[in-house]
Amino acid sequence: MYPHLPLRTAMTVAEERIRQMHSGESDELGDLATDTRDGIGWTGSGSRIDVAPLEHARVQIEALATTNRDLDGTATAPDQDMVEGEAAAFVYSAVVGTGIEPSALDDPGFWRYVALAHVWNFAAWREPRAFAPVMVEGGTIAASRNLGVYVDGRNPDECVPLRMYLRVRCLGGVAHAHLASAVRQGTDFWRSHILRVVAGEHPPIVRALVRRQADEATRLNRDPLREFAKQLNRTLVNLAPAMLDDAAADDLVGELWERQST
Amino acid sequence: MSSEKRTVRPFRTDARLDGLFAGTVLSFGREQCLAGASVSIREDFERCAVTLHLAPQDCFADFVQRLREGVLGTELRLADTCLVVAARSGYLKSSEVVYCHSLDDPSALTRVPRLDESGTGERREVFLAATHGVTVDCYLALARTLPSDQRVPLVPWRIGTWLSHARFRVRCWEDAELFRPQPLDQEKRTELGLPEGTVTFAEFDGDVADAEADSADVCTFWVDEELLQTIDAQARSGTAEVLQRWLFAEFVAAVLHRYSAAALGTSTPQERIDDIRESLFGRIVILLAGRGADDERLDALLNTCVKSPAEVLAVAQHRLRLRRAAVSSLKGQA
Repeated sequence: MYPHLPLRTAMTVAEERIRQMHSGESDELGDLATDTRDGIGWTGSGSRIDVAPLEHARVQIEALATTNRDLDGTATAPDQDMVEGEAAAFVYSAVVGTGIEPSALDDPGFWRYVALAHVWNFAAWREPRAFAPVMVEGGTIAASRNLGVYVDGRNPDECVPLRMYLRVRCLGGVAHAHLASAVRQGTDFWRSHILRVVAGEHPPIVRALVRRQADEATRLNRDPLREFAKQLNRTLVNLAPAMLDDAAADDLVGELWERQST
Repeated sequence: MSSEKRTVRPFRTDARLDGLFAGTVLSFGREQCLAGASVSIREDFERCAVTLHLAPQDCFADFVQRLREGVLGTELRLADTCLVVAARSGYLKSSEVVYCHSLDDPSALTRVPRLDESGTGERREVFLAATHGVTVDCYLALARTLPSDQRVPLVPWRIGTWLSHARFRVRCWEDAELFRPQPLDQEKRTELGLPEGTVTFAEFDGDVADAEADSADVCTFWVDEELLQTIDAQARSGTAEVLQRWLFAEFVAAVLHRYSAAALGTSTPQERIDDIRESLFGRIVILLAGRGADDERLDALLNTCVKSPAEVLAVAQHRLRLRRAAVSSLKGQA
């Protein structure tokens, strides 16, 4: 069995937390368990999964966020997205470490649970604008309308713990997790060119893309990268991309990348 | 990345390969999906057998012959091609080759390959995506990249390039678009003038038989908020399953009542399924008639909807397997 948080409950808790953080003038919460406990339903079959790895990952990723609280955004220092990539390896390993059934990973209710019970503070650090309180009519404090997408589990390229898990999964698992933080200033790269598109479902293609974008000698700027992505997408329409191994994927990506590099 | 998916085929392939998979059917448990179509699975998504019927028994020899001639007619060797089936789940960004057969000897091709089991007999992960469903692609494709000296202009050469392709979409109950209950909270209850004990209420805005209207806009089906939350929290329990089926039966009853009342109040001739196939009510009729129902049977059911809606409700309970779910839930609690 695995923990599942209903959508309404999750959003009620999230909104209350935003108010709580505002009144406490804090950008993180110490207790992520009490307000979610009553809303959690255990679903599926068998014995309950062990959520200790997720709690351990929470400590690791919050430490990363603390270490990188003041990033200067220059090319020589890790940026927020690189930190997310580094943290993604912890989240991926923790989710696998719970022993959760693969079918449960397809349930947004599980990801809502992870978002609220374990990754809340990291997500608030990563998406500060969405987690910032807003003033509504009558002067009351409310949550931003954009908050839901980062915690409700419905959108895999936005929900923070899910997109972190998927970043490593797209690369082919923990053996390739070092590539998750290899691209500097990679927020748009991961969201638009990996997580939102078919190419992201094929680890050999993803690895070939990441290696090139991570290397300053071959890195593409925004416009040529978009043109490359368009060409790749058109090419994949004519292929069964799941058949491409590392060599074939590298040939394909290299050929299209070369056109944009010259 | 651009979402553009225009299919530009910079190749020429033999005409015999056009529509090669037109008669191919994906069988997902009891449901069958034709090439280019989609089906919704209401139960046992994670357990039911998944097979691909490449061609009907009596046409299979012709299918293999066409495949053989089509590959050779495209100036490719049979040994360089394969029949491959890949399944993908977009939510979890996973994709898996679930069947691959070299066409070196097409006569050895299996007519009905099984897709859900891996070599070790375990269910493949991609067929466990019981919330968001799965997309299955069947390809006749190049099995290897041809060396430069074997490449011919306008003939595919890269591994994976397909010569013929068909897609099957399998949606899940939770993801089906026909029925999306909305939470009935106190504010909405007051607005609609509903008493506190109301569990469901169907709010209509438009004609349920309008093929142009969005089904979700025509009928908003309100369900008590607390009940929805409770079902959500125990989504996979037997009781929740019965309640979901019962709610869907209530939804069908409300739409059916709306349709029959409107039909009785008009002097225009009885509609035919062909006129309303894409409408909310047309989709319900097709669902209730069961798979394989031809237009004649659908028209007859449509007629019954007007003349004897109670009979149709009885059929709905049968189709939704309400009785079986209720009995097994109660037995499970005993």
